[in-house]
Amino acid sequence: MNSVLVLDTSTSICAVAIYQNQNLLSTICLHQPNVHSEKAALLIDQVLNISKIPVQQLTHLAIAKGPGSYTGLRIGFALLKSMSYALKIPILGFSTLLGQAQSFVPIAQQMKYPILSCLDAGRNEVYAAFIDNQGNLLHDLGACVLPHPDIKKILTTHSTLIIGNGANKILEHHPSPPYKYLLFPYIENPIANLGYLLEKKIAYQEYQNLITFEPDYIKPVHITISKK
Amino acid sequence: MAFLILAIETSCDDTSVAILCDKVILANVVSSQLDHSQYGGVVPELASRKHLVNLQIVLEQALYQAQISLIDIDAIAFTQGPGLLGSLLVGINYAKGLSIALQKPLIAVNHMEAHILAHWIDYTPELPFLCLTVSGGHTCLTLVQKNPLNHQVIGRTLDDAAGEAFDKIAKLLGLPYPGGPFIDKYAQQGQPIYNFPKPQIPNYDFSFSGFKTYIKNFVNNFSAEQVQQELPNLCCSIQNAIVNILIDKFFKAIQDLKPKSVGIAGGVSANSTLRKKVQELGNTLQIPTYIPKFEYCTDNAAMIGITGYYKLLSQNFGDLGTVPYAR
Ligand SMILES: Nc1ncnc2c1ncn2[C@@H]1O[C@H](COP(=O)(O)OP(=O)(O)OP(=O)(O)O)[C@@H](O)[C@H]1O
Repeated sequence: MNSVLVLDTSTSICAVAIYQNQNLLSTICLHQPNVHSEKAALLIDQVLNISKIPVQQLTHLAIAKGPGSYTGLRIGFALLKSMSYALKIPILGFSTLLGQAQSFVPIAQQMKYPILSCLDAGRNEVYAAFIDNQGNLLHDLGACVLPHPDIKKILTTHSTLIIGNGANKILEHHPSPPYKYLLFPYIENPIANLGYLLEKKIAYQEYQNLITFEPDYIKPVHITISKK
Repeated sequence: MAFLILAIETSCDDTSVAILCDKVILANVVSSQLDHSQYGGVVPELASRKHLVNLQIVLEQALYQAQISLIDIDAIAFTQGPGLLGSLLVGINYAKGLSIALQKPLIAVNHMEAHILAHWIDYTPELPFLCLTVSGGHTCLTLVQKNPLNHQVIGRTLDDAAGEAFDKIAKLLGLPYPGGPFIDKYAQQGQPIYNFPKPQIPNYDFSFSGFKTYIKNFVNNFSAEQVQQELPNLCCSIQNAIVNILIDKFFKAIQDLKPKSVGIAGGVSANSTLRKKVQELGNTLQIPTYIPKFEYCTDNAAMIGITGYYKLLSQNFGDLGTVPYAR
């Protein structure tokens, strides 16, 4: 039996969960920005306690690898990398955008709408990914300055589920799309429906190299050299 | 029974992991990020990204050198601050992950206290111990009383740190970053032929910004070519002046407070003139004087480990909710 600890610190939500095989055993999710530094490790400890799973019994770790907040991502990566090393268990990474979209797969299937999953990236930017109604990634759009041609194309050729905290922003910049759409800007718990995704990744052994595994920063470090 | 302590230091741009068996250093691995020098200073986002990759490598290297298995570790010490928040966060959370996985206690260490505690690695200075800490971010006089963890800061810089002064002045002279070691290098070939006014600061405090401005104006009188030509003499004079500012206050504090032993700590304690003059001062006043080994001058996890060791003895533990502080 697989016991997987999942962590998402990539957005203003701080979420931990434990899955046994495909089933969610327990999860804790905080909707509070800037508490990850203090809370992430405590939540891991708590979720292990409520699940009554000794840490040595974990078989896998999984982490939302971005896009998202750099600070949040690094907190999560540092925590899970060292756990992976100390427990000698593999670590899996999944896209934050793909992860949060999993909760909407049942509706997407029912409506036969694909999913445009997005995160607010400040100013007039979002991170976005286009996902089919089974929850599989079709197209990673990366960081999109709005209005954006790829997003425009999606909205003018499909009925879509637009999900994530950048959804309203997308509609502001792409008003009245010709096809039907459903808007879900609010995500209750981004890692509460990952059973299928995790099983698949474990089956394909999509394990990460502990040394080279890094967050999806999307952008290189922006450096301005002072002329003083 | 001996304690095995794992120590992690990621406060700035060096990634370091040390392993101690009680006070004995089994490994002290430091990986420096050389990438920053081309930007004339540490780029925080770049430093954090590198720590996340390097920490894993440095830890594995330290375990290999110490021939220790991670499960045998008794406690995990880490730098809580001061430093760059993004860098500290990587080390702290890495330590927390280890603590959860190994179910071993955490020990939060103050980086500046650790600089001072580095003297306890090879020796046990008699207390009270007066330490002059001089680094890139700090300049202070600290009195260690009663026990090695009992620190009282009696004087500090009111503006720039000594290392910062070295680096900023080096930049004025067209030297690469960080410029402290370059000033030291050129100073060896020069004479202290220039005199600069000393800042008049009360008590045991320091100030370098006025001095820096004075040097800036002074150097403006020189053409670029003349600076090149005069570099050894300029460096030697500047180095002497900075060291004298430090030594004056150190001397005053020793006379007033009568410690049983004294020492220097921090990155600038690698400076040759400072080392020489502090040793001379100690000899003159006949007081045991501790000058750290070069590898313990700059940021390193061994000093975090030795501080962790004393905190472990006094059962002073951190927890999973510990957050970093920048200053
Ligand atoms: N030989 C030397 N002469 C003068 N300055 C030196 C010498 N060697 C190193 N330095 C200076 O020491 C500083 C680096 O020291 P250190 O690594 O302890 O500081 P930091 O990590 O930047 O600051 P802190 O420890 O306060 O956070 C730099 O400013 C550097 O120029």
